[in-house]
Amino acid sequence: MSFSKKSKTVCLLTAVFVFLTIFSTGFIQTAKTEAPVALRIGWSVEPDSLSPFISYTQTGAEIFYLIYDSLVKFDENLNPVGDLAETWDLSEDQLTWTFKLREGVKWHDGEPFTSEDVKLTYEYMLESGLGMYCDFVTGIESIECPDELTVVIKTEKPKANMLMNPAPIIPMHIWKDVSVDELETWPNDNPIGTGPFKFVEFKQGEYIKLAANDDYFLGRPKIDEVIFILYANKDTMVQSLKVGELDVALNINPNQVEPLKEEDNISVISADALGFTELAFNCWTDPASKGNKLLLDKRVRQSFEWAIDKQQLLEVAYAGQGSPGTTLVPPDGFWHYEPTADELRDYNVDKAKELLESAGYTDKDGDGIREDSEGNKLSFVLLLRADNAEEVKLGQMIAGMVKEAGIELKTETVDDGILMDKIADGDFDMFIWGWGADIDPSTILGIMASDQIGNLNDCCYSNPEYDQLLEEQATIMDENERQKVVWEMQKIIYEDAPYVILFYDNSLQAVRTDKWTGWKQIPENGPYFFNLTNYNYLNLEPVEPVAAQQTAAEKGGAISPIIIIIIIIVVIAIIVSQIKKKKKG
Amino acid sequence: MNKNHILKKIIQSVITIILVLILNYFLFRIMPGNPLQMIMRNPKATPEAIAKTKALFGLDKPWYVQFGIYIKHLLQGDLGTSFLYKKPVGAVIASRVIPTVLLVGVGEIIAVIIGTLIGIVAAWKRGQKIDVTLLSFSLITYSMPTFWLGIVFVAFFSVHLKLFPTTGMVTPGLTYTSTLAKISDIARHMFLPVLTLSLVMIGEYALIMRNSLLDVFTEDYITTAYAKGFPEKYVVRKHAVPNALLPMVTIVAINLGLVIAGAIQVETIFSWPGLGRLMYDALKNRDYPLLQGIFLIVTICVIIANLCADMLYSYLDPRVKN
Amino acid sequence: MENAKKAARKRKIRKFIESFKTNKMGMIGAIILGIFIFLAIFGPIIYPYDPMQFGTAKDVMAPPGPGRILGSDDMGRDVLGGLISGTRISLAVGILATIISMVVGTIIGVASGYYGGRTDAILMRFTDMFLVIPWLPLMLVLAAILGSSIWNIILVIGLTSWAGTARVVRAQALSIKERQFVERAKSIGADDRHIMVKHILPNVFPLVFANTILVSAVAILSETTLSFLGMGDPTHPSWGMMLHFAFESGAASVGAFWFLLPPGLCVVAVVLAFTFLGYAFDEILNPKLERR
Repeated sequence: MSFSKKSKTVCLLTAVFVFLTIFSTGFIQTAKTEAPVALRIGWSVEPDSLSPFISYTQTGAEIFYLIYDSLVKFDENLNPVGDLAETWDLSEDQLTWTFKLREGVKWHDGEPFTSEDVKLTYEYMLESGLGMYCDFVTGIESIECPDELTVVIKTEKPKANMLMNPAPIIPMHIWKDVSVDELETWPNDNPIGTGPFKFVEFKQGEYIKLAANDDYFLGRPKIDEVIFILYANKDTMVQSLKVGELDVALNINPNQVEPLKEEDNISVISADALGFTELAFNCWTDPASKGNKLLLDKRVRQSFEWAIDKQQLLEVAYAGQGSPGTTLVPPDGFWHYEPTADELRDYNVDKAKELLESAGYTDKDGDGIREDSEGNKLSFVLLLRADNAEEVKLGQMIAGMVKEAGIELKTETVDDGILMDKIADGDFDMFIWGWGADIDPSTILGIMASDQIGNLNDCCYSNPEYDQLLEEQATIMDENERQKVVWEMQKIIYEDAPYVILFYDNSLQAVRTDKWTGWKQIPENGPYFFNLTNYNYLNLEPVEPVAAQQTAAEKGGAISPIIIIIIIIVVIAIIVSQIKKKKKG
Repeated sequence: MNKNHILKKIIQSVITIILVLILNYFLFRIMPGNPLQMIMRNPKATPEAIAKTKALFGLDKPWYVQFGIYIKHLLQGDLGTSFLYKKPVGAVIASRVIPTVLLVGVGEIIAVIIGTLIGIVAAWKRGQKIDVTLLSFSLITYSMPTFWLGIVFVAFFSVHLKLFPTTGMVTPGLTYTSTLAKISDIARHMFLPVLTLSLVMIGEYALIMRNSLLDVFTEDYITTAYAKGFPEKYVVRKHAVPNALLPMVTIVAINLGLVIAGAIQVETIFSWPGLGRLMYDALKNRDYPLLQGIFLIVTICVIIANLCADMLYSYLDPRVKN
Repeated sequence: MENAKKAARKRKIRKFIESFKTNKMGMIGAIILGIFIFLAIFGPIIYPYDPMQFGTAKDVMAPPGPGRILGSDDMGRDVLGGLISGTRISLAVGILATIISMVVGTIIGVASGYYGGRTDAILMRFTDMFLVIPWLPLMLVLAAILGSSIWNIILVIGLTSWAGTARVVRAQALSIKERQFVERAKSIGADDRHIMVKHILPNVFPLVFANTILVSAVAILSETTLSFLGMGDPTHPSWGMMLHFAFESGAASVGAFWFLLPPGLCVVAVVLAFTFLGYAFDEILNPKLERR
């Protein structure tokens, strides 16, 4: 009883043929002619848009740094230096800024750059109120262009962050055809800038490719192309780096840092990033708040900080990549305030117990959870973002830690949409989330402003004194004077504890040192990329331009015959065994 | 097959599409998460800006008006504007169709061919060692979570053996010297995703083919054929296998929905720029128009495939004709 | 007469058990499943494990060693303990979801087949809708709507996997409806509910039972996939949740196979056990195959 030998062989061969034709082609050596020298960067979030008015992602901002320029940019120490503006003047009354623009700058399409471009950019941002840069232009009253290379900007009050404005300047000759109303949906699919790199293509879900701008006013970059490649998961990204498909892997998994350090030719940095992860409490005093009222007592909030071992959280959930957090402004060398030993609430469960005890929260019914005088239990719901595995871990560990102090935490995972809804409605007790800060402290300090309740102020904290200081600091032009106010504000927040700042995040970046040289962290302990400058993009040099690019292809070529031989052997073996069996039968 | 039967099937399909359309529309509307927040992502937006955006995306009108507009636009072939990408949904989807079709198509073809072969051999040698081996192999691959198989493959083939690229459809930054070079690059990237996808499907097809063939073996016409004295191999090749293939047609069509599920997982593991991942991203970002568009297109494809399979089935199977 | 019927049924069951015993695949399935059910019930007693007992930095994804046969996970906990406590959750989700799916599928199938006509048409279009909408995206959307508590996940899986059962049951109900004893019951004036419960349901039951096993396999796979895609309930760590965390914390590239492989293998084993059982039942119950 058997199939005809012929038909079976034919069937098998067809299958084999399909397999081989489809895959064997994959092993043919990909021959290349003078390939451009490309810097290949892997990331896990792609820009949501190429229009500076509708992009709200950091990855979008990074692309804008390369395609566009701003009036003033940051140098390697993050001090403002001229970019499109060569020099500037501030009037006596500190209200009028005069920028002298660089001469001979051309847009990527060859049109000359003029002061009208600056005017249109800032006016569009002011009028539409769109985009992540619109914060930096608030307070501007008028923009005038006395001549092609001069911009005069008048402000209502002194504007302390005027020179920290990274807003990309867009070309008027293109954007004048887009009305302010259309900005919300105008995709800017082919961005034209003045920056060191020209836009080549954006394959959504795959990659973004940029090419060096030969006419860049500071000289052509040494990199021919920059390609940002999207990875749906960080694991495969690191693997690509290891096999040399990538030159840079951004935001790698904390657990991968140590193993990667042992690899040759790969350098891993755990750089200070301007951001933190926080445990937020619902501090809304409004009757509409659906949060647990016991959290309005700052002693309860403070006791959380005493009871949480930030170091252990950091080590277990983030493999130690980061530093325990304290105040609202991340450590940046100047604006950050570090609590004194007296003020500091360092991990100490006994202090937490003491504080709660003295505030009248005791465990009367012996179930391990404290109650207030009316019998309300210190039992709260902690919302965690389901997307973020690390934060979910944090939540579970925190629940375990505060239990020691007699507080019960029930964790619940929700997705971002639900969490945003709940925050907007004041319908939560606690949650874990994070913030990124700018160099200028106004933005991060601004999240605690009373008028931001329902918007940025996600813990619904309100303090008139703080609000007043917030307005004041934005107008102090003397940095040392301003620092005093900024420090005072951080002290207030630390004392009131609407957030427990769990840690300051680190930016984890791994790069191939065998392919590129000239790596520089900006500022001193900062990241290679996503550091508010385009320094590395401009200064990196290929080690051996041609060899670097070909290794990947050669690898594929070298393995191919072996695979094909193996497949053929296996197939022949199967066929032979079938024939043999048939003969026996 | 009579015309009435076809007509009935078509009407049924249309009703199903309409039901899906309605469910689709309202399912996403009751999802938590304020779409406006997702569109604007600008917490400092002024009330005027909010009102303007609402009007722009038609969110300022009552739901039944919105639904009416949606249907009207749909009939004009307009699927709406994606909240996330701020582009027409049709265009966003179109840019992702080819990778998925390529991945799923090749995976499906390989799975069908190998699955069928395994099924034939297993049914043929029912109860023998080779049957047990093939059956176990099929059942085991059938039992594997797709994503897990993908991860294990990545860990083994890409990390350990460094044989295949781990991610994407092409090597970004390569300038191809010929079309062949491009095809070969894509093929290299496709190997692991296709292997994963087809392995989990092979099991099912093998099982169905085996069952189907065993069923056919008991049919009278096979017995008759034997009685007439035809050699066994002839009976099997000319009578049994063609008939046993019939149910496969239907299953392949029905499986389309299942394949999409596999595609979501495989595309996530291998960063494949296809529809599955687009859907997942759209879901995370509450991009209703995009989600709706993908759901609609996928379900219509499944319905049409089913309809075709149905017709093909009745055309091929002599028993259904009468 | 009732007695004769009962005796016949008993004989049938005995015959079924006899043939099951000789079916190797079925027995393997039963043994594997038995082990896991035992672990689900008694595992936490035999092998105590506290999911809130987190390790320190040096325990994170530590390789297997004394006291920790399968090493530790991303939070420095014992992988073996996690596996055992996950057994209970994964099985419970699978079984409860299957029950929901079976109840919905049977009710819709029986009603559709028995009433026929317009009811049938409406119910079947509804069923078709669930058959054609891709199930994983639908589950993801429903999970997002309801929120990811373990009960919601059970509900979501149950409510998206009944369509196949409904179809099969309907076909069976259609044929039973035409049989004599149903006609007879109708003629003596039994109401619809009585007929459905007393006559049709018992006759579709073997079919539903066979389907249950296959749906259980699908339900467990669904839970694993949902959890992996981040829609699971981390307070009830199932095998899928373990895989989610393993993948998210880079176990594959770090080389922590002790964390990545066991949960997956457990899923494969249980699903395989269910499939083996389903296959064995099919072999025994499908009368066509006996002739050969």
